[in-house]
Amino acid sequence: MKPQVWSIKGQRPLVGWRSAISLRMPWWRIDWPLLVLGLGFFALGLVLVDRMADADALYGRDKILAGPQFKKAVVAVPFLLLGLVLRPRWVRRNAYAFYGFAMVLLVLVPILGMVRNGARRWIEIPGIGLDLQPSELAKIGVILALARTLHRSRMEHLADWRIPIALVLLPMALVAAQPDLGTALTLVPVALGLFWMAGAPTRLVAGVVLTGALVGYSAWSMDWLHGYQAKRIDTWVRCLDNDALIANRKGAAFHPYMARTFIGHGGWLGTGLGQGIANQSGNLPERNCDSIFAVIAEEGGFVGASALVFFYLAFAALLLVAAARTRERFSRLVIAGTGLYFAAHFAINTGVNLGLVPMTGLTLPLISAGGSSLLASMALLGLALSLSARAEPTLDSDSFRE
Amino acid sequence: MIRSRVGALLVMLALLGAVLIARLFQVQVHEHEVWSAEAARLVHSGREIHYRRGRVLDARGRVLVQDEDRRAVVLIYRDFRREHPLGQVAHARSLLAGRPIDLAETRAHLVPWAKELLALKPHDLRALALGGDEDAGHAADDDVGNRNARRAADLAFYLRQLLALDAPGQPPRRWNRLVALARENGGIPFLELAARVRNDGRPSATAEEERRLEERLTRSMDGLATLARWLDFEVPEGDLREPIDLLIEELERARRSVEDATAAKLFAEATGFAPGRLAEDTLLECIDHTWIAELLGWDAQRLAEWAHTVRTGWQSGWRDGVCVPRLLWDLVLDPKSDGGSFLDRMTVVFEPEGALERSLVDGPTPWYEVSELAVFSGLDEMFEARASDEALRLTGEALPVTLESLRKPPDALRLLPPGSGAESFRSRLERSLERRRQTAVETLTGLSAELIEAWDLRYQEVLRRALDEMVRAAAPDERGPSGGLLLAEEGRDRAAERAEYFLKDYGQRARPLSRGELTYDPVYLLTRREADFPGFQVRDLRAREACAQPGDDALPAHELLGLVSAPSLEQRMRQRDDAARLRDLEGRRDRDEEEEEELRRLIGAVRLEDEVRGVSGIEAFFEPELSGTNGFAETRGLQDVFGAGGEEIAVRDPVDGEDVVLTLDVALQTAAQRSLREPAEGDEKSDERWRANPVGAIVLLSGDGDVLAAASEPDDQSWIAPEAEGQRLLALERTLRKPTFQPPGSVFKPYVAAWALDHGLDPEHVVVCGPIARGGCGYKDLRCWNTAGHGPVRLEEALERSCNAYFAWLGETLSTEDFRELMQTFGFGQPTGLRRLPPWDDGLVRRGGLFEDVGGLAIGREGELSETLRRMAGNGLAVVEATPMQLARATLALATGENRELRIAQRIGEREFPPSARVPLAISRKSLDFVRAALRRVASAPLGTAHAALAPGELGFEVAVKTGSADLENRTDDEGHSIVQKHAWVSGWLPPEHPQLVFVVFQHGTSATSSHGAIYLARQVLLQPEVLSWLADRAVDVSGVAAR
Repeated sequence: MKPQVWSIKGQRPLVGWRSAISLRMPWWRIDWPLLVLGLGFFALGLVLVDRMADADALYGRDKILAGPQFKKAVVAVPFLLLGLVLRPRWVRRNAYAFYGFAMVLLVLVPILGMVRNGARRWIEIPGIGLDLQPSELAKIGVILALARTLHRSRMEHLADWRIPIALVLLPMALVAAQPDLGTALTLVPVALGLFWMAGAPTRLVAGVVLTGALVGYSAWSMDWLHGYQAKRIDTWVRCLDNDALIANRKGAAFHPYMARTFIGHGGWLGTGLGQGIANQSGNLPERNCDSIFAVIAEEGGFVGASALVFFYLAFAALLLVAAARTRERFSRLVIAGTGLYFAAHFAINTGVNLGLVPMTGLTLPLISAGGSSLLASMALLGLALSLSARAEPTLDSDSFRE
Repeated sequence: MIRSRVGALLVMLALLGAVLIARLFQVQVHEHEVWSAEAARLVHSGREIHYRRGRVLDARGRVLVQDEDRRAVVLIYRDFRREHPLGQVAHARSLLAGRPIDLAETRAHLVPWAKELLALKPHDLRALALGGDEDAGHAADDDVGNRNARRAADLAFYLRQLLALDAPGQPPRRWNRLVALARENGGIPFLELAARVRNDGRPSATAEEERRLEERLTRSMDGLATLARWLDFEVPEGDLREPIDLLIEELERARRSVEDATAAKLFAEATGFAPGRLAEDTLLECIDHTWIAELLGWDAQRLAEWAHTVRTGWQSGWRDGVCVPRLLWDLVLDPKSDGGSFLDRMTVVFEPEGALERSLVDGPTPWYEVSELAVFSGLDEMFEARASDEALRLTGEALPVTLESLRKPPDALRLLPPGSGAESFRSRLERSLERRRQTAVETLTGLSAELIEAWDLRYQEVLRRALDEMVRAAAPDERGPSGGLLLAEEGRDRAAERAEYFLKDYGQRARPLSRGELTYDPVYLLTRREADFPGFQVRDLRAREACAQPGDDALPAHELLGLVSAPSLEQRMRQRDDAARLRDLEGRRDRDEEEEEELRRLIGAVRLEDEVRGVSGIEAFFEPELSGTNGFAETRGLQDVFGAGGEEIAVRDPVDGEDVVLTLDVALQTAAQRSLREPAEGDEKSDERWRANPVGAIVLLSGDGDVLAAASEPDDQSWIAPEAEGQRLLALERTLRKPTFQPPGSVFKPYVAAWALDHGLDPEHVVVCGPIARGGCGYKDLRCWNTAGHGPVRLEEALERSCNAYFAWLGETLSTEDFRELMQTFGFGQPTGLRRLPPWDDGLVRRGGLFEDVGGLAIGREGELSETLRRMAGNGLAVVEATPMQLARATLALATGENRELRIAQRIGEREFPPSARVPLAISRKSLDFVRAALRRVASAPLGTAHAALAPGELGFEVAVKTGSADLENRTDDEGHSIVQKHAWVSGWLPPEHPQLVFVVFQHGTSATSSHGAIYLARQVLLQPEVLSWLADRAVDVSGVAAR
């Protein structure tokens, strides 16, 4: 017999949509600072894109338009609400289903996907003008699936690692084949973080990290990578020196050069909102998504950029703290996974812009333009807020652990 | 545990934050200066500001030539090919057919062919990519596979463009959907696939898609038709074509030009020499061009057309138009020019590429030391097949200069075409070279053409033998499908890699389509409906325009003023490094002093793509003054669409060229040109044939030695009859040149007379002009034009009636040195002064243009005139030559008693170009007066040879004049009668007492003597309203003219 979800208050079993959604949210328990920060980043992103669109219009370009981004925002916000109203148990029960759905979408990308700039990553959703990037949904799927798997596993033995690793490697392989190695690699810190949170022994986690680093180094030095991927790493290594970066500005180092130039131009206090040369010249590639941090750094200066770093990492930290506070293991892992998701993206995105890591195309969640990223970020944020607020009682052993 | 685990993650976040903030500090604070400079560079731009080239004005300030800003419609063929349906269908069809399909043929079948193309299926493309065997799964070999894949990819591109599923500039959503659909539906035509994508698979979608296609095609052709009408593509009367036909012909010419240039460039890249060096049949039959044909989609016929184009282009363009003139000019300036140095330079034509530049810089290699010849030097490396010993041995036989038997000992004279006598090649060469600095290039041009033609025949024949030998010895895999030699793979690969670049480069060059001033309509059409006319643009151009005077269609002094030209591809390639350095410096925000200096130097040195320079005539000679220096402006910051922002800093203002004010009077010039172009009827013996196809010149000088008019016929504006021949086909400046033997005839007599009078001639001495042994009348062996003889004549009568016998006797009494001296006295055999350098010119910069022949005594420095030749020389025949301008100068000297250099420019900018110093003739006033009086009688006396047309009663005023005719050759008329062709001259001045105007009229190759032809032309000129008005302004009494 199919397990039934029972409401807490009533005696009736919850069926249909009622088993998934509960509007009875203990709103007073929502982590408001977290929500405010999240919405603040979201608003910042919209303002920045609006200013970019204004700059483009002023300088006779039509690359960035505010309208489509607002439309995507309108589509994404309900997913925040959806995340808030989903029942934790329903989510836990359907975690694998969601993971499976995300994997199906990833499999469909090579069949139905659109090609842009030599990569096939998007599936067009007719009617709403949205191109869905399944890899973003896959991140949610991985977090949920891992949380579900690790719900019962402490990862104490190597054998416990098989299924979780398989759960991670499958989407990684599918995403890397698009090709989108950068996105694939963001799953690594999220997964490792979740393993750690789940109780994996430190030595095993360290071992995996070291192994991964060795594999990565081997991949680069032995030309296992795609041509452009290896080239990006070569360029990064060569351009660690500023002079080399400037010398190669018209070649392979164009994007990192532009990002560094505009960040450096910001100085202490920045040029002011919408007044940066990145916006005026339009030279910075992907300035409304992957390189948006460079725009913030130029226009906000060191003070503004440092503030963003502080608040964004604080945002991730608050999620981790919320996770620590949550006694229910699945919810804890989902919330922690969400925090790790935002932290990993932030680290990689800012690292790329600052030249600390090789160039890869990764958005800054909640801030960058991009419908799929916004959608996934909103959904995860809503889910994390909901899980931390509801704190449904369980009887698993974690409930009794400090 | 949970808390400790989370704590560890929080610590890592904190560390991450610290690292990021530290890095931010490093980049934004510590390195702020570095990145701020880079950011400023991004919004820092520089641009050259074009200077305005100086104008050329006439003496009264009327503009003859100036820069004009205008708008023009230009064609970018590459854009047309890729984005216009006509271009797309033509090129797609060519890909399928494997041969070029021209645009006119495509237009005739546009809709059905477009439908046929879109009826192709994805399977068909795949089959094409796999070389016809879809099941093969792989290409037959790399080369074939690559070519097929490229063809398929190109065809896919054109199909995509033709379908126009996505709007330009938008993401290719629909096309991507079609591609996805095509994967599973390879057997469905592209048109149907497109219909499904665009119309969500509705059943009627295909028909709708087809209708949409037809509409698009029809609209595109209607647009072209409208454009053709508004661009004034005028159809000649009686021609049934429409303006759009002419436009499409122009587009097809552009296409061919792009492909021809690309093919020539590819060939040169692969072989190291220009394809035009080879005779057409050798080029086509001995060398395989399959690789070029496949790259460009050509068939055998197109290849043959290309071979013809490059051969004629190389011969007339580079060899005869650039190489030989530059070499001959270099020879003329060489103080040691002799037969050997002439041969050295002729050999350069046959040496490998780069020899011309080396020769001009370092001097030519002596002909007997030349070891490498073009094409031969690369025989062993340029083909897959190695050159046999026999083929290599033939290098030593390719030219006479390489024959060992002639190199040791080196004797230049043995290499010249054989012959003896005054008209032999050797004699003519020696005479020309004797002039040294005074010998104009064109004098040698005819000789060099003769020699090069003979040498080239031999060169091509030997080269053909060598290549045939190589073909015979080559293995099957060293020959191409056509049977010709395969070029070495390395060369082909190198060239093929750059094929796309060459096609793109040549295809992106703007080609002017419109002529003259553009009306509003095409500008409106092309700017408002830009998307409907891909490849057509409206651009602001600055063009050098000659100005016709009001009421006159012809441009005055067209040849004399000369032409300008933009830098050629070779010139642009030569300055490539400087241009790159200039761009680099322009992009720098902070330049040090040295870099600023370098920037200023390069701005002046690097020619812009459309920066013209004078290449002939006045434009070339005064190039240093007419050209200016480009300016440079920097912009810091960006300017928005409202024009706000951005700070322009002028680093260097442009310096415009200086205006050159000539001594030419455009009214007189026009009058002279008009007279020459439409000569008036003479008497019953005038030459109607010459009148219908005039060849000649008219010079008018002021009494101060300023050139008032220099008219020449034919020029580039002349209408040339289809049956015209000889000199009528050659447009050049005939006031300064003598393209053929050009004796002045009897117009030379006054100078002989004046000189002889001053050296003891008794003017009362009588010479009998009577019967001579060879028939007719004359003196000894020289006939007089008066077959009845003049009887006993004295000097005055001899001048008045132009008695040949008297001057034959007089010439006989003079020595060779006397003749040299008298010619020197009056300026014969010397430059006229038109190429006199401005006072500020230190002579270090070579000036081109205004080339003039100097004629003179054609016997060489050490030569001696025989008695016969002295008799002829006394009559201005055989060994005496002159140009109209030289004769005008001599006439002025005779009229005024002073010799001076003529002047063509009087002011340049604010600087005066003063007249030259006047040097009194070394001839007494008495002698001059005697001759002058006699010349008055030439017109006034009833027996004077100019009386019939130039008598005071005919003109209305008096002139002093001399006529002259000089036989050239016999020709046979239509009825088989023998007719003597001659030069006919008239030279004189007016008023006789105080010369204000000097005139010379010259008819080239007429059957009428001066008394029956040239004098009437002289009268026509002198009675032009402009001339009369000019004379009246100088207080010359021309009232008698009105009374006639």
